[in-house]
Amino acid sequence: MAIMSNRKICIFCENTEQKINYKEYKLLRKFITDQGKIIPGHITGVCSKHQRHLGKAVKQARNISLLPYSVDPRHY
Amino acid sequence: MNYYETLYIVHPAMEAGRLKDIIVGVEDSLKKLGGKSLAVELWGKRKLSYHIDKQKYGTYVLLQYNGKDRCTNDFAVELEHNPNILAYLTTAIESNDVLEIEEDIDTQISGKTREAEKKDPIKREIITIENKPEDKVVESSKSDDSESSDIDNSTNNEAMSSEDNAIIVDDIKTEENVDEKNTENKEE
Repeated sequence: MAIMSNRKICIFCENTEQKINYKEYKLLRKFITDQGKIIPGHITGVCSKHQRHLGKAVKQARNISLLPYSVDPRHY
Repeated sequence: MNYYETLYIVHPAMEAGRLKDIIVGVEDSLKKLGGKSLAVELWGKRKLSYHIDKQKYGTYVLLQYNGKDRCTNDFAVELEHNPNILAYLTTAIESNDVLEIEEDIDTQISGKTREAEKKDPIKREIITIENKPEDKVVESSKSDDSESSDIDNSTNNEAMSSEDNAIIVDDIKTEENVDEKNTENKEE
């Protein structure tokens, strides 16, 4: 009997050409919520190694105002 | 020799010539500190995610350079003291990540300004909408004049008859006025 697994595959492990950089803020937008919070890796399926790179890139993008630190939920 | 890149935001009020002066000034200050600029990429004007110095928009410029020792620290101090630069971020890169940009700063600035003009079709529409009614008004006024002249010509005869009536009415009024004056004189 085959074991069915619901484990998601990390998109950055699959596609090695895809680099995680603060300049690619459009890609990083997929990994933050509407409020501007970083989404955990177990929800997006990103592995722990790439999640660390993602966190760093998001924080750098916030620093230079490419991404928001926080968004008021009343202004969605 | 290490490779670095600095992304900095220029004040949105700076455009064309003044923007070029600032970019060239930043490069000059980098040269004085012992760095060598490798590539300059203009991202253009875009909306900030949060306000910086009460500004909603900013012009992003990416500068890639190489240097050693305290080059980045001194460069950061220079950027910090420049009032036209809202924010900056310096990161280390590898030699492979250096961009190959053939366009000059002038061509990039002119290209971005054209894009900005293309992105504002709303203003153009407003202008066209504003112009169109005026033209129509002018045309309609002209047409009105022509029509009114035609109407005047056609209704001259009718107007004459009405004028006659008006003269008669005026005569009656003058008679009444004369009567009133006479009564006033009598009272005196």
